[in-house]
Amino acid sequence: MKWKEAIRKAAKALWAAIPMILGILMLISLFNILVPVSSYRLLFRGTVLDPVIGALLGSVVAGNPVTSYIISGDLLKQGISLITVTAFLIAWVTVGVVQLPAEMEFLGKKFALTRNLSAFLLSIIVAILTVLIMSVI
Amino acid sequence: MNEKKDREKQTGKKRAKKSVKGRWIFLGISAVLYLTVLIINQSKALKVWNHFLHLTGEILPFLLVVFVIMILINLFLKTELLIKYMGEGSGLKGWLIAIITGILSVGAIYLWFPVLKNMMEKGVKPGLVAVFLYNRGIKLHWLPLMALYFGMKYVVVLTLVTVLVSVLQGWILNLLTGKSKTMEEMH
Repeated sequence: MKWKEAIRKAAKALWAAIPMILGILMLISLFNILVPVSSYRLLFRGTVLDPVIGALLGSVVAGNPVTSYIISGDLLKQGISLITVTAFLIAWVTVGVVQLPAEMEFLGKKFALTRNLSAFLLSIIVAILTVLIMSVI
Repeated sequence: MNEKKDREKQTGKKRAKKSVKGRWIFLGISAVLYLTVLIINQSKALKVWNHFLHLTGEILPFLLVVFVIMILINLFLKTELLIKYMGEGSGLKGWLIAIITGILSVGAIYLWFPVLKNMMEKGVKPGLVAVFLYNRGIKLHWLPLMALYFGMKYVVVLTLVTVLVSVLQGWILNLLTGKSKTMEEMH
């Protein structure tokens, strides 16, 4: 493939992605501004369901991972368990509900749904494994 | 045989047209949501708008990086080469490449979707794309900060567990979607 053709093809693919990217950025902005971080801790009840809630929350919110570290540090200080916080941290970076329409559009519905659903379940498994290993070493 | 190919081409064209329309509809829905907030609460809407501009400014340099990567893929990554290293029968090499490139990749996840689509169309296994995406969860440049919050031991254990579990996810994706030979079947 020649340079000109390669640039034209790349520009076409990127241009096609622009509306999806802008839509995702708008949804993230709406969520981040309208749902205050302080409300997150109200979701946890200190039950065995907390890791699932943590993973659900991590799946829905989006943004820079540093934000998730700050929120997680705060949740730990509030007495939320390490398994719950880990599930939240991992789901934050591996599951993307906000970008799911874009993922389905580009990589296919079947792929995107299977990937996000399995990543959600695996975030809880990662959390349990991490805390288990931490407790024995 | 030719008739079948023509039919597949036509279906592909129709889907591409529908897909472009769908992307603009998605942006339209986001805009409508924003306008709703603007009508209800103008000060919140202004904050949302500023946040949106900030995020857009943040991703612009990465868009340029993605653009260059896409040009290089078009130029140098031949289908045969991709299939050899990340296609059916690529073996351990493929898994390692997906893990390492996933960890080293930068920018927002959605910026990578067009690149990954291109690679999947060229024959890269869905499981390896999933491994790449899962390992993007490991943010090398942010690990020191993470260690500051949670301790070095936690960071090391979490990183290793993430890499191991990413392989499990790749295996699940290959098992559940691996039979879809074309991108059409993925949709």
